[in-house]
Amino acid sequence: MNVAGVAGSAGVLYLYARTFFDRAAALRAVAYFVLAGNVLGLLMDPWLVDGPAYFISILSFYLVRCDRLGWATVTLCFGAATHESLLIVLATLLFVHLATSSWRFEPRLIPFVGLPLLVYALIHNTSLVYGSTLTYEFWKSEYRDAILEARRHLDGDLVKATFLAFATSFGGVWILAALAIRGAPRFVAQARSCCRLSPWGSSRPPTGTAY
Amino acid sequence: MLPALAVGFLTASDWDRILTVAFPIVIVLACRVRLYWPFLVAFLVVQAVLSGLAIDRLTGYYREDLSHPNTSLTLALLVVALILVLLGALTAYVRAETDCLLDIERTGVTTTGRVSHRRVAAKTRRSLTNRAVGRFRCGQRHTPPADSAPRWTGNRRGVVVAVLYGPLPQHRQGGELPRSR
Repeated sequence: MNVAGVAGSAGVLYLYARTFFDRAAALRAVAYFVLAGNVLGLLMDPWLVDGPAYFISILSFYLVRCDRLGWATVTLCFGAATHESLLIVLATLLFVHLATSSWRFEPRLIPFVGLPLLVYALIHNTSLVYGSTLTYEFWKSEYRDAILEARRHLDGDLVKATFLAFATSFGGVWILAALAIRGAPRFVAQARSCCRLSPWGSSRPPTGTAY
Repeated sequence: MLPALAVGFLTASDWDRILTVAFPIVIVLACRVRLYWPFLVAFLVVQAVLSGLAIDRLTGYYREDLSHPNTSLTLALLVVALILVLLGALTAYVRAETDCLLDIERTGVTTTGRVSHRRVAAKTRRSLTNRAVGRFRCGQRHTPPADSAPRWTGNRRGVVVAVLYGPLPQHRQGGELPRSR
């Protein structure tokens, strides 16, 4: 399931990148994804990779990019039930959608935010979804100290741990991303038309009239 | 997304997995940078080695040994990088052929490149004929002759298309052109 999730993520990532850029750039995106350390971790231990969480995350981005907030709500509800980090995705998508829509509020944003949060609250406070509730409290200082101590023990110190975390996640791709922030395309602009890919398959659609 | 990820550092011990959550943003931003081939090869090799070392570190957690070389895994990463380079080279070749054909269409000069990729040629032929039909129809100044080939002697692009790819289909030669939407 992890392998299938990662493979599906690569496919959706290609489609997602194609809504912004041409085919070569989309293939570069897939290449960077495959070369990410955590994805390559599949060679060693499938449990290192959260394939379904990757898949739901990129699918949510793609659906919001295509202005399909209803379907994105469904995927994010599944995501909230799969992995807590999907709440970070939810917050990011909400922010980027509002920011690129000139902070215009839409009623459909209410279920988009509320339903995944409801799923998350049900999981953490009731036994309806998984049959039990979480036993640890991640906001407690003891838990936080234990995390930092674990990183110090494994990597030597926190600076080294941070560097290795960046290297393992994407490595040099972080540098490229920092270089490319300036002039990056807007997220929601021309969203409805961008998802209808041209059969020409490049960033230059045919200019001739259909016959 | 980065502030949320920083908060995630305090709630989970696997920081690399926390950072990987950002891949829909980081990777799509990174692919905006168009790497020319020497740099792309170097980047992929370095990236593969970096990922190999990172995985080597992760492996050390399992073996309780943080200093083993893990050579076979690094070699596997380099093979993956090589395959990606070849794939990217093929993509760049197809794109170069397309650009070449579009240059021919735009300038009318046929000696600036060679036409060897059948699939690209077919796709480009469709595009060029679409363009020629569209431009001609938009102009509406010339009446296509009914019995001469190439038909669009007053249209330089039409001549180029006809010379390169043969006569156009019958329904697009002469007479009434179908109206667009």
